[in-house]
Amino acid sequence: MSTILGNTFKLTKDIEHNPKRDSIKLMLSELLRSDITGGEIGYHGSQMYRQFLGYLRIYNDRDRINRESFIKINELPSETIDLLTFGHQYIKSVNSLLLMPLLEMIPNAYKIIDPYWIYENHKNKYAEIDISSPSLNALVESFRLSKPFQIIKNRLNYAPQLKDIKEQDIANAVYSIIERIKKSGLKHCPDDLFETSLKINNPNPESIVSAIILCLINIHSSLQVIDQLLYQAFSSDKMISLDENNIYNVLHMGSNFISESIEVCSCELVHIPGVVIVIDLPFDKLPQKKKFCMVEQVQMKFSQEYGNEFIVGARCIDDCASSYPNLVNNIKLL
Amino acid sequence: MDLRYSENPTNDIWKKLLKYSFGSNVRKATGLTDESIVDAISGSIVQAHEYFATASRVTLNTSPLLMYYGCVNLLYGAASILTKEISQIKNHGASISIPTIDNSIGSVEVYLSSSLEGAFKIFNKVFSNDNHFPKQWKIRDILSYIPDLKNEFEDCYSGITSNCIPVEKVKRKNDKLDRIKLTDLKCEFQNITIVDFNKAYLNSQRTNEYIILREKLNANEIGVYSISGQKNLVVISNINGKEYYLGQIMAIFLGLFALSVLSRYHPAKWYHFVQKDDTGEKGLIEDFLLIAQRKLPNLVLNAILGKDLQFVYNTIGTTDLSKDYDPEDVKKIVLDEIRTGRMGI
Repeated sequence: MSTILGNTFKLTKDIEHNPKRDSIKLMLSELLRSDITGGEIGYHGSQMYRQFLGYLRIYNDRDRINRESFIKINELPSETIDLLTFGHQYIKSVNSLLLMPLLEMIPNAYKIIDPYWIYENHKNKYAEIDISSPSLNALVESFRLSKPFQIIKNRLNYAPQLKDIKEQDIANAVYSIIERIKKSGLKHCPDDLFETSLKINNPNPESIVSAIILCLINIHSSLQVIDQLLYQAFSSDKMISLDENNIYNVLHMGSNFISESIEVCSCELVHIPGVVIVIDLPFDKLPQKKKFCMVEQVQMKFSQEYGNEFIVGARCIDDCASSYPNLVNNIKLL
Repeated sequence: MDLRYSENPTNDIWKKLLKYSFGSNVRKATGLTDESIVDAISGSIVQAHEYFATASRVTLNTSPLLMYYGCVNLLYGAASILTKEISQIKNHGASISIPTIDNSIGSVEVYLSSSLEGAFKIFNKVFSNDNHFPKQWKIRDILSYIPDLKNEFEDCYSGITSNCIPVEKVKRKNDKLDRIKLTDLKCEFQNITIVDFNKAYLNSQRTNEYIILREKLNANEIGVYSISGQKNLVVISNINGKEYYLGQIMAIFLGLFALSVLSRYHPAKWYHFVQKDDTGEKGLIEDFLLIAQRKLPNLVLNAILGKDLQFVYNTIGTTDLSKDYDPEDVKKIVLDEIRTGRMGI
């Protein structure tokens, strides 16, 4: 398997053999237990798309949180902080290596495409570490050769003004679109984005810039998925699977120009948004039954009349590990 | 379930079965050309109808025997339609034994023979998937598999639980579920083994009032229905360390067999029971015969047609909430409308 997704899974095998992995796994499970931490860091730290950084951010801000809210964040042992820091540095270092080609092409987008960029501040700056391995090299190489990078590379000469755009302006463009995609939910997509997509292969400068922005969003999405998969390799032994043993209803299966998405009802598992899971629908006629998906919405209902219900909405992940694959599918390489 | 409205279900069911009393219909349904087989099928169906009709007009003294004859004829004809050949039945395939100490009708034992030419084995092969049976059942065990008898059964044999658990089917806007009232369970649900449960349902959930059951996607529905349309799950009996259960047709067949032998060959015991009802089981036995009258032809018709027809005035046991909207649903619909621009906002 030489796809980005395949190479990410190979890297997760490296993580499983990392000497710190078992300690990290135990530490993460203990963080979720308030009887051990004596506080609420487990609940408030396990946030979507933040992985280890979610805990570190909360912890580093504990004085203010304890002072200004009813949330209680206790001191943690230094070993715990060391392990959280190592985990975050590991993933952060992977991101930096994967984004290296962008440093050469659009340096002003290099930092902001890292999913951790918006969560980092002066209290949460972490150095990269040396984590080189053949699996990581293969992942970096497949990432560099992926379609979004090729599209950007082929179009840069036609949009020289892109290099002059401020970093913050690119961030605003990228993150405002991501925000609107999220707000529109799994089944819908922003109308203007649809219009943009229809004209995406036009040779005018606006369409070229739009194509590059969509590619940056796609790369950002791939990194979110990769980061989460690496985190899950540290934190758990098995990926959650939604299949015939826990799904009782399929509310939605569809695709738009952003992604393919699935919404299912399950009755026993709680899925935190941002987690990567396998959805294996027991329908014989589906071309591909088993799909890797990133959970985006979870609706929980608890009732004495109807029992517990979890409605899980997820976007399917493609071989490039992106949950927004269709954003670039229609873009020609040139 | 295919619901058919009927003001006289028994008549309507027999009207459909009696189509096979005409050779042309048998030939059309089976493709058989051998006249002797066609006549055997038609004759069996006609005789079955007459035995059933006669049984409904006589007293409990002889009705079990007439019902059993009707049952054997009906199953024989239907089995021949389904297998497209005449079954070579040499004996009943069962016998009974009356315990000397226990006076109860429910304690009468039914022994199944291993003869492959016995009616029980032959009919079971056609109408049930289960080939594993204990050698011995008690009449009480057999009756416990008839869902329509549940209340009467448990009233009659206090302390003994029916092997049928009523299930309420709830339909909602986007999904459906089955649920069992905790008050309908005599022990913890986890300790009960249900026939084919894991093939049909996800892990059950327990709330303060119900056991909540969600069907697996693509799974075939399990359970049996009472005449009123109430779904029931069937519990597996543990007899001498082995697990068994009886399907509806075979339970009725064995029940009728045992009662017919009692009434035919043990008139003293049967007459005493009918006249005195010392054991308090008469109501239950009468109910069983009435249910067999109504239900067996329906079950056999369904087996022949490969359908699940229910002839009822109204169904019970289903709560339909599919058209109820809670505030969250309304909010979601409005949001969807706004997102898709259909509301012009």
